[in-house]
Amino acid sequence: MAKVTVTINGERRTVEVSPEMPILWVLRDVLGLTGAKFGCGMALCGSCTVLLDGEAIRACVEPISSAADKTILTIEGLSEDGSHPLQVAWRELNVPQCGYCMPGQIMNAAALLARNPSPTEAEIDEAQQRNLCRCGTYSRIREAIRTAASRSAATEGGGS
Amino acid sequence: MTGVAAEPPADVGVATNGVTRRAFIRTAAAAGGGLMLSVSTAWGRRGGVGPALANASSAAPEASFSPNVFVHLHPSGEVEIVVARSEMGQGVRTSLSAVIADEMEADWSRVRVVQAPGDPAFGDQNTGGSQSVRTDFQRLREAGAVARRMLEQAAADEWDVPVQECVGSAHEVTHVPTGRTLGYGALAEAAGNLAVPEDVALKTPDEFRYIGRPMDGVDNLDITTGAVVYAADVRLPGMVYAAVARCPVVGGSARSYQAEGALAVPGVIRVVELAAAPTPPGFAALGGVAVVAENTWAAFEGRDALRVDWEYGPNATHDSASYREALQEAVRAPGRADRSEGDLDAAFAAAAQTHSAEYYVPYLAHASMEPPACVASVTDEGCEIWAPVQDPQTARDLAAKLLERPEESVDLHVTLLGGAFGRKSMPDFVLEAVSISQQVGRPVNVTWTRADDLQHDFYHALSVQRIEGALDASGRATGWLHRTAFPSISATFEDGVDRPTGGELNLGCMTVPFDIPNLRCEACPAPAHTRIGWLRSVSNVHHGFAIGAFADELAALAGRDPKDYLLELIGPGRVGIVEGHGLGIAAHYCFVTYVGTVAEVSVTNGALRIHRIDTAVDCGLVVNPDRIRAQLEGAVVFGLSLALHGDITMKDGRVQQGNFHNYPILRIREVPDIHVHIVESDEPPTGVGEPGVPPVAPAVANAVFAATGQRIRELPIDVTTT
Repeated sequence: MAKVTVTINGERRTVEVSPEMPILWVLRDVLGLTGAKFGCGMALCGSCTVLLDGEAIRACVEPISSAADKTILTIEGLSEDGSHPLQVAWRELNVPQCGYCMPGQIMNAAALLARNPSPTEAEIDEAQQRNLCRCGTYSRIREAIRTAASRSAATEGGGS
Repeated sequence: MTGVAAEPPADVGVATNGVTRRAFIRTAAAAGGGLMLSVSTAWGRRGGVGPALANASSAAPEASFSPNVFVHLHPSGEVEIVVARSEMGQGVRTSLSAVIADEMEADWSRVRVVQAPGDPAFGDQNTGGSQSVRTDFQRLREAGAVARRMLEQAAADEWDVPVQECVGSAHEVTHVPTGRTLGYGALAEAAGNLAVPEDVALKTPDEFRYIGRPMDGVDNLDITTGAVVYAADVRLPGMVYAAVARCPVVGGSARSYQAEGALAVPGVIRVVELAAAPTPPGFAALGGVAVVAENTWAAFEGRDALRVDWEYGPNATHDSASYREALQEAVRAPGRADRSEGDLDAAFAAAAQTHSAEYYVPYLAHASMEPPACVASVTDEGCEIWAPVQDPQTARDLAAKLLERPEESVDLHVTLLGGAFGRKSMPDFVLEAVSISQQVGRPVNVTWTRADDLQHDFYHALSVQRIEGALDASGRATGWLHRTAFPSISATFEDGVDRPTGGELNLGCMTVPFDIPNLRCEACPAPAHTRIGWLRSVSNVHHGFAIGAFADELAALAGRDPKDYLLELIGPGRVGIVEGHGLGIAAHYCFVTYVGTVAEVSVTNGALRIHRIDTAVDCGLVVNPDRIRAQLEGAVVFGLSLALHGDITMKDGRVQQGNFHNYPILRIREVPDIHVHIVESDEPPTGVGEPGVPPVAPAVANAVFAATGQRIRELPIDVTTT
């Protein structure tokens, strides 16, 4: 057992857990943040994707100790009210079917757009390759990322 | 104690993210207004989360169905529409509520969709077979129309005018001659005191407001903000977590176990035993040994430290490779003829050419992104369950039986299913949670790992099929013999079922949509050695593959274009393609829906690439065109996964796959350009959840042949062998 301090969705939190406990279970079972999902436990499906210091990680295999004194962003913290361009595009294009993979898909895409605001088709596929969708919504995921990217670019281009 | 936060959130264990819980209980008598009787649970951030309060038993709804149970209108004007089919991404929460709202002339922005608990008061809730819209369309239209009619009557009474002069539209009733209006909310209480009419007129299609229009998914906001409460997300005071060690071989049981290792893991509370399933297992939990802990991770770690001595039982030597060989032998001898027309022997004797081929499809796993998960809370007073179940009433009934209590004592809340594809029709995972909770006296959250999910599935049956065709001198098919061997779903439920049932042959084999005068379909022996279940389109998966591929082989034999030959087989614009690419076509009929699919592929340096898939569907009247497109797009991806990757193998009675590294499903880079074409129709609406799946594999197989000359007769497709 150890005390680990992490800033999660802008809030500083200290948890007392085994340092090997994966970030996913700290989020879900200790802190009640159940947006990140469990799908495989082996970093193969991406349902657990959150951002650690801005980088997309698979929380099911990363121990909480690796997040000490760092920042974590989860789907719950991506926006106040669902207004992130990705979230907006996701709804406009009716991307979700069962929805289970979506927090991971969206967080992974958020990391992509943060580092690469105008990704190519190939770069979108490369980034989202780590996120499975059994319902098969991939075509719409591609379109939603393209849409969100082009809107953000337009805003930045024309912003004052 | 492991896993205790130093500064717990104020509401941890009660709800997630500080969301308040709300429950809705209304009765026509007790409420101070409101139109109808309904019992509902709330879910998602905007709708509240967590357990609903118990049914007000004195005001429980009548046991038999009544359309009134779906609509609940408040004096504020807000209306709750209850959806009683399970949502697994196929869009029922949007489509079914839109049907009611349309006939009711409700303002969609005033509608909140509420999920029905498992209760016969809502009628049939079993969700599967692509038939929710098809089955419920008429009665849900009536439910909405009845509401509108009664609101019009209430307004007429208020104004003291003939009801024929009152028209409900967009959430208000207008008195046409004078233009006076009254909002639905203002009329709610009065309408609630009226008798429910027996017959009401329904709209004509040109009057539809929502039906036929693309409707946004009602849960999109909750999904994209992480607010949906799937079963594993439910949090209750005092809740614990459990992982179950189950025998790797179906039919086995635990002889003994040692818990010391598990109990030594920090956070583990208890180890309890679950009774082994009977033979045949039916829906019963497999049984085994459960590790109960403070958090999910400790439960998993505790289970890894458990030592269990298994008795593996009669299926301990089951081997899918040798089973395949046995089925191959089986289809080379006559079987039980379920369909027989004309004179097959004469057709073959007179044939100018004959051809035969055998097709193999392996065991397949459902692998929905949400593994089975359930929260159950058993107390002296009752039992409350949260579960992603396709058949809520069966789950509830079996839970009650397990507890030896009446059904009314069990409250079963249907959570949003994170994918199902047929797996979650089986409530075995619910019964595990109920049993554990009963034993430990606390609410229990049981999560299945991906390995659990892949290794304890109700598999799509492994199959071998043999098709023989006779052609006349002009290349026309005159004779068709189809032998199919696969373990039956019925074997999971009944003893002595050693080959496919007539019902299973009716899924794609007997229903072959070809106009061939001499035809026979036979079921050949295949005893079951594992649990077999229904997986998205069921036996249509392998029947569609074999028939679609064989039709193409006949076309080649006849020297004909595959599309033209297929149209001729079925009875009564050429796309330009890139050099080196192949086009393949297949068509299938199931769940009252017709689908035709074309695949464009290429094979370069031994690598298969799918470039484009076009799929056309005739599903009768279109209710939600966008969701139909989404389901067909998803079916293409699901069909490609089984065409290219799906392969569950068994050795020594157990499944060899454990996660997505050895049971891969399609990833984004493999997804082709997908085009969906919806055929316009005025026929009653039919299903779209499953029909898009079966023609995908044969279309791809036929495209591989067109591109390379290699015939594909087994799945998953391997283009490197010749």
